Amino acid sequence: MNTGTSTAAILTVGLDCGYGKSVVLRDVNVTIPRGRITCVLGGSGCGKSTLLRTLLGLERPLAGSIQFGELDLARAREEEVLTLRRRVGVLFQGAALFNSLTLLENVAFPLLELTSTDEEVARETARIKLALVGLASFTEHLPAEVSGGMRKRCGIARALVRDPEVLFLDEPGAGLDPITSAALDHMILDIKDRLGTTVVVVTHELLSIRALADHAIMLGGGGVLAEGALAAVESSGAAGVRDFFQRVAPPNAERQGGLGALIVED
Amino acid sequence: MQAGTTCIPAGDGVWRLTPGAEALAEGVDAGALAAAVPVEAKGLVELALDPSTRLTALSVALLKLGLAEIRARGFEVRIRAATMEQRRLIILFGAETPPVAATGRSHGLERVLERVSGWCEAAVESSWLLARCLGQCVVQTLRPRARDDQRLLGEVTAIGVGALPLIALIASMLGIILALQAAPILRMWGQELRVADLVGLSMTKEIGPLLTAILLAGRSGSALAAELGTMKLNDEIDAMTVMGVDPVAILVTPRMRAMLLTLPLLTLMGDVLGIGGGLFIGATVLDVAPVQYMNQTLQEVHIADIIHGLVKSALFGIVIVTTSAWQGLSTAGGAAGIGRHTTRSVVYSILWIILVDALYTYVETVINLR
Repeated sequence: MNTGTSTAAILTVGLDCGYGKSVVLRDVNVTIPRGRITCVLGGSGCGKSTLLRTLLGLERPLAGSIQFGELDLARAREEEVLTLRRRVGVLFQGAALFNSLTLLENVAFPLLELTSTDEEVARETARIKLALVGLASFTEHLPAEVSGGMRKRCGIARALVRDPEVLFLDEPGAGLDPITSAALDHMILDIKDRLGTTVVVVTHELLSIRALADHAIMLGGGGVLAEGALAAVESSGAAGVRDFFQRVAPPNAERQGGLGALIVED
Repeated sequence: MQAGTTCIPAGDGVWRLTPGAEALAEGVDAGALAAAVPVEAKGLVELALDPSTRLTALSVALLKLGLAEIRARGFEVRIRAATMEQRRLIILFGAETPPVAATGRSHGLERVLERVSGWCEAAVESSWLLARCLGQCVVQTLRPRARDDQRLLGEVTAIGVGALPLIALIASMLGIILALQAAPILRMWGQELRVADLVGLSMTKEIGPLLTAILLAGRSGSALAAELGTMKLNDEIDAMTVMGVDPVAILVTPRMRAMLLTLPLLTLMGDVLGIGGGLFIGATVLDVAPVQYMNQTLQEVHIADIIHGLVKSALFGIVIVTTSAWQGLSTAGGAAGIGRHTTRSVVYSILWIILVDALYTYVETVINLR
């Protein structure tokens, strides 16, 4: 395991995630490699977002540990969690921009609130990050005045503003048209290549997965179905994995019997 | 019984049930089909569809319920579809729907215990919110930062300046009403001058602080709860948390500081305007000269009375911000949730204001009487 930690940005051991009494994922043992893009895959409701919220410390792990570099998030003190949070950036599903602030103010917000950065410097840094995601000419717009794709890009710029080690993206392509979604994928690859950021993408979109994933974690049935390089996961042979990649719908177990059994033939 | 639906013996102990043209349409009772089977019938009921009958999900649902009822009366049932289309739809729509899983809802004592533990949890968490917020108030006041002061100024303007005209109007009207209500009795006893005591003491000690607090609970408390609730549902609160920014410090503490500053000031203004209203009635209805009225007020209303009122109003301010922030931050359940929690923020704020008021007045009075 020690050889793993040097290349692992995050390592979970025996992690159980859930809310209160209900366990959503059991015994999650996964590695998120440093400087690579890891896709967390799985169908709707399989616990992708729950795993993400637990990795971010928004939900307490029900059991096990989350090794974030040297720190165990499950046992960390409040100040340690705060320090850790400064090393990660997050894009939420709906971008979660502050609606009363302009795009520039949104991106500058973490700098202004958490550091003693001078306002001019913070705004200039925010401008640089907005330019990086192609929003240089929309700095003074409010979130409600731009498209969904732009809001997502602004969310990424905000997540990147403090040059995080790990960038978490929750369903970045959800609700976007194929072209915007592809452009977003290119941008994510670009961020990894140019900034060397570790990226964790939670998604169920096959096209994005094929474009992005260096490493994949497939969730299903209340746990991890497969983990490893994308090709290895895809060919792992587990039924849930094969159906996911080949887009096979499960038989509808609910629609059986009933009135059909009463029909008589002539 | 549905018009047109027939049920006749078809030999071999089979009764043929043929639904009429309108028997499987919207607005038909599910029992109608079963009612068409005569009481003397026995054995097997065969439902024969006319080829012209166009089945929909609703008509298959009627079939399903009707046949179940016929079966419950002791008959065997079967269906004879006239076309392939009918066959297909009966199989598609008439499939067994799985029984709804029990929601795990608990009963009796267990439910009461769940409720109580929920209240305890809420009490602990909201107390923690209150403690954190008050601590941050002290820190933000002692170690001023430009951004915090900017927020404070914005909140003072929103809470205080916006509420000024409303409180001015209502306080002076209440002063007038109090004086008018007391006027006949005071005149009967020849104690017209005492109107100044009555209005002065009730405004400063009770009505001023209470009225201002209730108005601000409705005006600013609800706004805080709705804003926090919307941000919560929009993931904005989580976004702040994962950035390492404390949402309470940014969103709640500035309001607490603003409330602690403005609520006593607004109360003081309400006291003065209420006394002004009393003075107006004293002068116009009870023939008390304004100078005489003011002298009487200054003689009877002591600084301690005013201070008690102001201390109470500061406590009310803490109650309003804590209750509203707690309601806002615990919002769940979409747009309806925001509405529910906003309403609760006002109702619970007023409830707590009255409770704190009663407790404070009780303690103060008991101490004074000793």
